[in-house]
Amino acid sequence: MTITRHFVSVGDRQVHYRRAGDGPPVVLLHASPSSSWALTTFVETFGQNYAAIALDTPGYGLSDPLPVAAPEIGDYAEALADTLDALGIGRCALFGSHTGATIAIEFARRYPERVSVALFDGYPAWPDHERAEMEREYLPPWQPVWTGLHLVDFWLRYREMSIYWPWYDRRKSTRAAAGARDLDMLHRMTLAGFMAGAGYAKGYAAVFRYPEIEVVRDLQVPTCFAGRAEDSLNESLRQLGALPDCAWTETLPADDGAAARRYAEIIADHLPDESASAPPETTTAKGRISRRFVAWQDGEILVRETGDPDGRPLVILPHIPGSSESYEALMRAMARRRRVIAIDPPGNGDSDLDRVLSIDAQADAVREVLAALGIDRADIYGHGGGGTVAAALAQRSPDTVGKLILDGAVTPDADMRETLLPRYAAPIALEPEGGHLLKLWHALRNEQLYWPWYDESLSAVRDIEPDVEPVRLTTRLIGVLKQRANYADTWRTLLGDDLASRLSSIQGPTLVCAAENDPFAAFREASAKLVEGSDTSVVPIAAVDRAVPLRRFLDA
Amino acid sequence: MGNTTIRSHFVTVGSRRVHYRRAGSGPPVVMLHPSPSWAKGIDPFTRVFAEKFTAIALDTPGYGHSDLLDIEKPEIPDFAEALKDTLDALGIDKCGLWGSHTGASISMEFAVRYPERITVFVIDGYPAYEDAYREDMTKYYLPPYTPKWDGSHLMYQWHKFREQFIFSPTFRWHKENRTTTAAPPPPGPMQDMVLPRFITGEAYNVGYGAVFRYAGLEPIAKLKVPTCFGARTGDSLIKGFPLIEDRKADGSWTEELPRDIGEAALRYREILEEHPAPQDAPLPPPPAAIAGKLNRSYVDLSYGQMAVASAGPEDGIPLVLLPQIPGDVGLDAGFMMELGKLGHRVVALDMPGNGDSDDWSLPHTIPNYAAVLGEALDALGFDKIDLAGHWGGASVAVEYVRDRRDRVRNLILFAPLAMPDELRHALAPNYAPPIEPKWDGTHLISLWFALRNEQLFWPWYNESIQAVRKIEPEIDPKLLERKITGILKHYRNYDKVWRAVFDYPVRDNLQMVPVRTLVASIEDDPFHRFAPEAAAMVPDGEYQILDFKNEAIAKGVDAFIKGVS
Repeated sequence: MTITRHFVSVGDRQVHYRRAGDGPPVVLLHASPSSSWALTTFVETFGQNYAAIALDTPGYGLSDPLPVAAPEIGDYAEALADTLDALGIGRCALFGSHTGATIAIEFARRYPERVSVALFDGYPAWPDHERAEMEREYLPPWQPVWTGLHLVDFWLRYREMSIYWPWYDRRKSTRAAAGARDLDMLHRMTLAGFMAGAGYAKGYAAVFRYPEIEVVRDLQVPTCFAGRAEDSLNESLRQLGALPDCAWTETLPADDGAAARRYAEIIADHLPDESASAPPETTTAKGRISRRFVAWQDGEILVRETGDPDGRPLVILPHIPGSSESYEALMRAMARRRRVIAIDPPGNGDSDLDRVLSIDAQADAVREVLAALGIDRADIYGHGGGGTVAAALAQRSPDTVGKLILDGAVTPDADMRETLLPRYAAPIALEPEGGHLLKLWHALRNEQLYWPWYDESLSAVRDIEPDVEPVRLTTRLIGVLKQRANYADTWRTLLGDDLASRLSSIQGPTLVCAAENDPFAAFREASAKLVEGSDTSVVPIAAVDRAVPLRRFLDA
Repeated sequence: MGNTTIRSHFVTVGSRRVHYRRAGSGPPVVMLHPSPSWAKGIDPFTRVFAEKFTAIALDTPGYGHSDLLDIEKPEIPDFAEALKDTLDALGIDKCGLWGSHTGASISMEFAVRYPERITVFVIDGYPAYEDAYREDMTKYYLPPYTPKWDGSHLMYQWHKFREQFIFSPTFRWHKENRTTTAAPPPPGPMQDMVLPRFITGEAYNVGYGAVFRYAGLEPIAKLKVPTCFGARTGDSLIKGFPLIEDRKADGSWTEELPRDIGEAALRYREILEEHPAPQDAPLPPPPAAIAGKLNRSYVDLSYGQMAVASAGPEDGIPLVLLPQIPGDVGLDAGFMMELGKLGHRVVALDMPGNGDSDDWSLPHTIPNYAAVLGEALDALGFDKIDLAGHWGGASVAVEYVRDRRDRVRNLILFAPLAMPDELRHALAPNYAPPIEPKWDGTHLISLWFALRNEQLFWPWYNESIQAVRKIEPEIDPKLLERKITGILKHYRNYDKVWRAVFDYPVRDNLQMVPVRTLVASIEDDPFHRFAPEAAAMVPDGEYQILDFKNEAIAKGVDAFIKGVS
């Protein structure tokens, strides 16, 4: 079952969702602080007979947050109504897990005519004193710190939830009857939490303030309260007392696939009398960075866009491994009179791919995306490994490339590349205690401090103004973690690529530049010599300042 | 050439215990370490000085094994007075004085207050800070040390230590703050350097904080003794030299020394040799007992020093306690104090290469431990004892008692690892993977969770639902902290000692125990399940299940011993 990813504009916000199948709409809402990614099994199962649409709740996954400091469940329910309107869905089967179940019940209460059946996969219900305690204890603030321990703390907290629930209360009676979480699942949950960042707690906090027990009596639609073996919320169903006639409880297996099949049966008995329409086109909003997925032969590619839609296009290819999210400030700084587009090459950032493509294939994919966007020719800015992709694009499709900027290109000579290859990037192997996060954090941080990063001798100290600011470093790390399986291979591909020979074939106007703190800054001048007639300069570190010489070159 | 074997000692100063490392003979040189290190951290200097002097390196109050001062927020003058009291207790009238970083600040205040007690003052890095810098450091540099449930405080300390080699001060991340004169040490040595932070724990910023509150520029002009303001290449404190030069008294000078400790120590010794103290250092005085605290001492054995902790009266038949191995006496302190209150003389011993005992070159095996236990009892003059052991310590006790019924009256085994051979062989390769320090410090978090998991799963490394232990867990961070600290003292032995424990067939030997034996365990002990059967195997054995409270365990043991005496 193929799952596709989409953005839909809801007022000023973009909502991201995963979709599979066609037919009557089944809308799925995830738990906090995860995203629709966690519901993959359900989307696949429901998609076999229905149009399964799993939304990222505002502020989670790739959905923009609500413009409210402390949203309540009612705000999320209204946002859901707006999203369904934008998707053209009148009535649907509604599935919610944990926080998602709370939003779903409030929606069903407010709009019973829009819900054919409600399925709650773990419904949070606690007495008042417990809810107050949880709002206080359950959600330590998210604060990136230089040690990288904010990542490990988060990981360990989610790991602890399968040992004690609530995680901060550790007694014989609170010991969860569950084994340790599968590491890949834990990775998905915590990565979603990192992505939500400082807002990770908002959905939870709203749940802790919501009168879950009282609202049950208002239900008018068929509703299944399901408890899953090994689920932390299994116990809370006992808090509910007598249910209204339209509602019932069920105990379902721990396995997602088995549970999903039972839910699909229930949906079949309560189908909404409509079919989901095709996903609406993604729209762009002036003055904002909008995102969309562009379908491509091997999946979907994430594209960010801002600026003047009629302006001369500039395409930003981010450093790989990494994500274009780190380039939003640069996009804004370049946006005047330009159509600025940033693309996550396949297998990087939010462009999912289960393998690493050759540089040539990545360049070809970028060209296809440009064609799909109606762009024949664009100026190209490639940063770090993105510069290698940009050079490949210039080499293979010279007509597509106007002016070319290579910033911090990965151009060590063959000997150096061979030295770096075995050590530059080890595969990210998940460790039960979250040690892999600390390893990655300090590897990325060390790129600023030593050359190469893994050599901590005095002769390797970099005499530069380093950028080790924890929030930016966290964003960078998230970009890498999104395609963690590709991290080491992407580096191998980059360091195995003979960028020098690509550079010597480039004909058009080219700027070879680097910021002082770029890990590959030392290779700038040598690279510039390889590109005939190129300009070269050191560019400032901060995005707003860096944009000035870049614009000057593009405008000349 | 003097004897440069370094030995640890305790001395009682009022109601405080002071620990120090001593080597050599001749006139005394007293040495104070930097924070948050300990005397052991300056062993390389001690060794060089000891070739010409009696080198005495003190753990300053609150660090290493020395008690904190009984003052809420001690200042450098309080530490200087404590130094005077310590020299009095050691019977040292006059000495050469050497101090590094925090040790230098304490020594400075002492030198200004008591110039008549020192012949020469040698400094390795003087914290000559301007006021604004001191305020900055006080504000950002020393967050409290609080054991956290996830052990992340250990990782924080690891990275804070490492960060000193990257930025100075560590909380400013600019080009001009970049450390360019010293590289981070490799992970193994770094683990040894970070350890005293864990041992000092919540007190780590007491002395450190005092340095930043100390207006250290003022006393420089007041010095009346010959003083070398030395600092080694790479020491961030070299940048204070101009401030010292502006203020220094006659007979003081600044001097940059080689980074290499051996070379620097030789130069420091040269300076010390120009002004030797007039009298040789007296012999170490025996430490007096302190009410309400465990007594700590060392016994010198053929292989090295064995750490001894004791409680209760100083005569009578001792109950000799062998704590968990790997580990140290830290976890048993409360139980020992309770047993002491009941009138028992309790003496705990750390096996070689465990806890505070020296390491040895012999293989870690239970029979080797049993042999050295015999030597220790001889050295301590214990002819008749009651013997107790916990986990691996119980294995040592069983091995020892087999043919020593003449010496052992009663045997007490706490949760012996008396498991069937099949299980023993299955656990052996998995239970304790070697501790291999990693540059990113992640070995600490792995060890923390391995120890924590002993409470949560059986065996700890199986995290499936079938392995869940539904017990009231003992996972208080302070308890885990004590446990991990005990292990890290000899982290290189961790897997080897566990291997020795698993290689020893306790069950086979229980049948040969020739004395009256109590097998006791608490219900939540991971090895509790083997205790009743173990008791049944001992010819004269009985079994008791105990509450996990120090008083309850002490009462159970007391009743058992009184059953024959």
